[in-house]
Amino acid sequence: MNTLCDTSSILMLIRIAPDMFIDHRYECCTIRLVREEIFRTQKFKAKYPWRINFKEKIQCLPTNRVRNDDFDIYFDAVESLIEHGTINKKKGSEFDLSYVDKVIIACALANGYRITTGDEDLRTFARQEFGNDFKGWISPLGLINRWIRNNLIQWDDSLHDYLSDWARDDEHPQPHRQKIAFKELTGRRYPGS
Amino acid sequence: MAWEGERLKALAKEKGTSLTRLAVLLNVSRQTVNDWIKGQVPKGSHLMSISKILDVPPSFFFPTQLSVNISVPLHRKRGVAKITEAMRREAEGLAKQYEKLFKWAPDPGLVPVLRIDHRDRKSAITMATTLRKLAGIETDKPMDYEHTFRLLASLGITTIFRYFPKDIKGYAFYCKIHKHRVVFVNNDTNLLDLIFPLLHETIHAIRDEEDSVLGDPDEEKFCDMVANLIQFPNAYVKLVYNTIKGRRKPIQINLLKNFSAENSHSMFGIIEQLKELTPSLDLKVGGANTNLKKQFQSIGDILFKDKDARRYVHILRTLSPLFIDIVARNISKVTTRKVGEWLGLESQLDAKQVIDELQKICSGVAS
Repeated sequence: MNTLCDTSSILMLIRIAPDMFIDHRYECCTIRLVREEIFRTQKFKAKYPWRINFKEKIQCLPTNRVRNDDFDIYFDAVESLIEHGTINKKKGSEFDLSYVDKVIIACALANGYRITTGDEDLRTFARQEFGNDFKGWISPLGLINRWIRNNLIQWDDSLHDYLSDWARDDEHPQPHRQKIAFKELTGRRYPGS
Repeated sequence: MAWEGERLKALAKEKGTSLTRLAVLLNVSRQTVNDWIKGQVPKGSHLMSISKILDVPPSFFFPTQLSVNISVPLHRKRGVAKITEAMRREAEGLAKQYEKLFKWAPDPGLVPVLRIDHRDRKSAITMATTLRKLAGIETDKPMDYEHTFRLLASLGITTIFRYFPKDIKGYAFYCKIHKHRVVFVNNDTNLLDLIFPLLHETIHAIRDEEDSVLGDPDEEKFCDMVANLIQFPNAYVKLVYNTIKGRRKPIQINLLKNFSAENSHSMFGIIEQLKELTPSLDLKVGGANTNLKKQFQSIGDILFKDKDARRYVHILRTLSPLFIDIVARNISKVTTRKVGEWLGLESQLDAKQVIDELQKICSGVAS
């Protein structure tokens, strides 16, 4: 099953697996809006200066794959629920998703993709509101573990350095069970939170 | 945007589907359907199923307090752009992003309304003269962009600057969100192209009490007429006319270009006015106007010059004081990302830095 990657997850993963959108064995895809966000957002220029080296590597789904009939209805539903002020039952506050987040959810739902993201609001919304249709979520560390298991990447010091940057860049915490799995697979402790 | 369960009941009846049958199709209890009708919002997956069964978009059940009217002034349209359904949809989508913000904002209260029975040139001149005074511009000078934005603010119109999605092939559009008059401006708009559409949308905004006039071709013409008269006072048009009169066409074009450059307006606009004096005037200024535009920035370039948050907030406060006040009052209610979306920062500035600057304004608002 394809995994739809959002901006934060791509910035966490692309140095570790530069071919994640080129080699179909990684089962990853993304959309044009996410790519634009990565290369245009001002704060990313300072925080992730290396991202420019991966411009050719981040290939996107064609528009007709993203914007099918189901996409339009899902997007309308997502937007209506967000604008209405749907409450995050975990936090007790209203969900607040960006336009790109809404497109990602609608695209994942319309195409049966799983999502990888560090954004808790995004995945909680998808699960809470579209439980039956939502194909689930996998953490960036979970994807790494999967790629190691499938021999797509060989873990070494340079990749571990990239992983150490997650803590420095204040990326979202990773699930406990994936940290354990990572240690089992690599013999190294996950360096972030 | 609020869920209206009664719409579900009415639509099911209209489509000949009983509520019991609807419950069966949705695989939920009859009581659940009743709860939805009474106001409980269905989960997203149920909302999708309801929409598919009853063949309406999900937003049908969330009516908005939003009316969007896009108009592309005839002689300033971008290329041959016409108002398409996609354009309307995108414009409405853009406006919807602000529904909550304007719901939280204080009511607009007392706002000026333009009531005119005769949409003729005489009324247009009277109106234009009044509005120019309100903008505080000198008698014989064409309007510049700063005076134009000042006029909008004095009429209680909130200006929002955004990079428009590519389907909205316009410079500006007007809409009403929770009774607030709002004009959206495309950041990509060159300053030369900006003033006229802004004035055009301004006239729409103060003529908005009757929805029936919006989109009416005669109304569009009237808005064009008033906008042109606001931008180009009679004395200025006569000065230009007397200067170019009797000259050869290439000289006329060159002189017009100089006037336009000096007074920051498009050549097309002044030609429209000159035609009132000499209907036979036939000057092809497309090329000259394109060259002239290269000397001017877009409004986005001005806003985001130097990518400096403090400077950006200062300029936005000057150009759109109503908007910045509403945003500053509400930044604590939403995430950083949402504030960035409201301000249309996109890739231009770090929203966190802008919020820090806005918070300084906020403390000013509080005191």
